[in-house]
Amino acid sequence: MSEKPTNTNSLSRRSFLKIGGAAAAAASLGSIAAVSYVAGADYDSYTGWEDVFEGGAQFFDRTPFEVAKPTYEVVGETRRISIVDQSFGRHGLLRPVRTAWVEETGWKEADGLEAAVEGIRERLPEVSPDLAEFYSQEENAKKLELDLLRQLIYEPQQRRDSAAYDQRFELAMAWGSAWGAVRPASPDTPPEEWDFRGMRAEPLVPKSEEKASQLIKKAAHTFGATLCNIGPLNPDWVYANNVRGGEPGPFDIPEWWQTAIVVTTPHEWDQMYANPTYGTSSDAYARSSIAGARLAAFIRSLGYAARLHSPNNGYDVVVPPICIDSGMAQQGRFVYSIAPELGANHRPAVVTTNMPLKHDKPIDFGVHEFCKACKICAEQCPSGAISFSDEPDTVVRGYKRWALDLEACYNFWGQVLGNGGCRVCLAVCPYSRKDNWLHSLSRTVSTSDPTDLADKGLIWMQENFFEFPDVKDYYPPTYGGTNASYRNGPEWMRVEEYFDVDVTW
Amino acid sequence: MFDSGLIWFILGILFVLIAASAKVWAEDLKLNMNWWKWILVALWYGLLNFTIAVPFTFWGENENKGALSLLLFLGIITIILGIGLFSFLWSKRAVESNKQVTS
Ligand code: SF4
Ligand code: SF4
Repeated sequence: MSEKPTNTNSLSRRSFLKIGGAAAAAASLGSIAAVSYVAGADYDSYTGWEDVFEGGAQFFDRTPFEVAKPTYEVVGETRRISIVDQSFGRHGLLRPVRTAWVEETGWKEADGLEAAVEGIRERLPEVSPDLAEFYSQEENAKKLELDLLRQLIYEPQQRRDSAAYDQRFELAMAWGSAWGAVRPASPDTPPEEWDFRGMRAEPLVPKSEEKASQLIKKAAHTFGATLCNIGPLNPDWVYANNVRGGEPGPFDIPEWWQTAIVVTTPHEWDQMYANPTYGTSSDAYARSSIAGARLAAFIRSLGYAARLHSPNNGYDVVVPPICIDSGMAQQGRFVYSIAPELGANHRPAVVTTNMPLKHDKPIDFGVHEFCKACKICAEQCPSGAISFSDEPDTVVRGYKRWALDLEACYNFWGQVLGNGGCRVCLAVCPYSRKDNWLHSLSRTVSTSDPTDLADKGLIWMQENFFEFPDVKDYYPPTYGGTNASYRNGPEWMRVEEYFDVDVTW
Repeated sequence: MFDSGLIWFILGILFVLIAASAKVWAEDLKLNMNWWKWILVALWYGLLNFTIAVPFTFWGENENKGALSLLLFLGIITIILGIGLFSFLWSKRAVESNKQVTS
């Protein structure tokens, strides 16, 4: 009887290991592919929309990036902003003047825009001295024509285009308007009354400002804020006139507007990428406004004055610079603010208060340097409103920053179809990315690389490997476009997926 | 399943099996592995996983063009480095074998 070879078992074990290992390698690569796909698609990566609550989405450690001073540069005499400096405010004031003039004169498009500009310019001093003064300044010489171009030419055309093409966006529009259905009340009494309404008679005294800030942030997150930061209120960020609930005209800043608490929430990520046509501001507007309204009520219940400034109930302050002062964000080339967790995909609201709170420090996580190398928002802006300059190239009320042609931007809003307005610059910004391993890695590499090599590499990849529509395609067919969006509308926003409609697109 | 901790547990088991298997393959191919050669192999294997993970994450995000471009870009780099690394390990094997023959 022959002896069994002693190495049979060892041979079979080796073969098993070799074949098993090769199979395991294939299985592991398949699993990595599946895990990665899920990481990209998983709703848990939709910061601010995932099932994390109570501050879980404010995950970026700002401490290493704290700086002593805000990251904007003061280069001249600064001043508070007037309501007429700002396109939205100016349009609100101009609209009734224009409507009355058109009704009175019977002006029609065929009469030409020039006639309307002249007629309304003559009318302004008696009905709106603020507007007349604004438009008479040399640097604003063209602005009346641009503002009226929107109101008298673009908007009527937009209504005609809408009737022809908007069926495609009906679901998106219904979703957007639903978000606007619940909104906090706007002040209808002066700050001396409104900011104290429902306030506890005797304020509760905090153990320390730090403890009070912790509590406010905790509460803000439970009220629905994705991010919450606290900073001082720079008087330059308070509008100089027309305080809500008060008399029109200049007003002094109430002495209880000492601290600014910023709360913010992101737009739902897929619809945000589908700007301009499927995108809406309404979701983040509503969430931030309501979180802020709850926070203001909470603070008043603790015995301190509090006033909400929000997209849905109006502002007496300019919000983006307060995001910078409070360490929530930095300003980008497109002038809006960029937060580490959300990029530009967020809509902040502010609560001004006299509650004693510890202020957060401003941060510098490299946005300014990144923006110098990256001009993606400028390249993709349909209206050409964003500056291409390498360095900040304008001074606004004493502050240096990149120029933004607000009239061009706002006039595009009067042309584009779908949900209203445009947020393409928010969508294309490389900082506006979800929270999965890949973008967390990019964020970490970008913020910790002292050279700008990582930034340049990331920008190069985005510019060369990713799709961008032709800029003119964002426009409706009337202007030579195709009603394009940066990314396709999400499946749940496509009306043809859920309703019987004639698809003509 | 693919967003749970279980998948990482399974992947851990697979990685152990791959490491054990790699040792046997290296022995049978007489690659004369040492610690720094193993580090090079591990780095390349990490790159291979990265090459798979990046495009599939982008596919999950519906970034199809980006996913495909990065698969090609990273894939070519990974294949070139893989061939280079294997040639290097193979050439070392030949040198070691020659040394044994001549000594
Ligand atoms: S909102 Fe649209 S038009 Fe305005 S600056 Fe951004 S990309 Fe340009
Ligand atoms: S797209 Fe680029 S340049 Fe524009 S704000 Fe974002 S990072 Fe800056």
